Amino acid sequence: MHEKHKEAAENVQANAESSVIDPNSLVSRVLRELYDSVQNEAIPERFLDLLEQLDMAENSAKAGETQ
Amino acid sequence: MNEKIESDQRRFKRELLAALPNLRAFAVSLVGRHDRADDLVQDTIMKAWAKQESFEIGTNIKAWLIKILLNSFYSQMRKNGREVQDSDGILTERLSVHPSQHGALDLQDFRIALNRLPPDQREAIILVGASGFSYEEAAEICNCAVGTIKSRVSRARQRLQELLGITGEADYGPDAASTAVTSRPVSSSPL
Repeated sequence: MHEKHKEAAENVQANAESSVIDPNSLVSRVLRELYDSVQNEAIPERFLDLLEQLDMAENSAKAGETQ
Repeated sequence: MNEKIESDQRRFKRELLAALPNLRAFAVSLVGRHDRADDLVQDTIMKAWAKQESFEIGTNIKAWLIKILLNSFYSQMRKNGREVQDSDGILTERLSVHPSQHGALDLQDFRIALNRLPPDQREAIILVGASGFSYEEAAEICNCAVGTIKSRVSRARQRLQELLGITGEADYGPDAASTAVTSRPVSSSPL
């Protein structure tokens, strides 16, 4: 009987806690959600191409220097 | 010698590539729009590439890149007199405030609210709240005092709560559950 009361009290407590969300953490949580959603996107082709071009330009400049 | 330089370049490229998703996430959060954010990222890649010799391998490339990006962001703003406003529509719809008692916020509403913060506050809360930098690291990136970052973050939080209609109190006491039911004005929030 005691156990049951305790369990019920814990349930009430748990429900109360889950219905009250610290606004700071709510803001932080959504901010991270936004951030992570972009972070999980694939890197756009244009940046991969750009890096490839920069790399090639640098290498050919170096090859020019050594000749 | 030449081989050493070449491998540094390859390593730099690899680290830059690995840091790009994070840099884009920072840019999109800061600017509010993918297209403008990606223009900033492109600009940052080119500047970073041109001055890669000044990057010390082994130090935090994410912080280094964000610094370069912020420089471009603020110099564009200075050139334009003010921040480029969202004239062509993506964020122009009005912020609809949904009560947040379900613990859920619409991501789009959040983006709009974030976009309404002054840029220095936005920058601070993103660096600390999402990029995972400490207050000290964020202060280094923004070139300002730790106390300044702390107050910007707290003002940003408060403003976001107001804009999003979050009236629950940051009451951590044992009776938080009962007191939060009667919501008090956000301005009394002990931030």
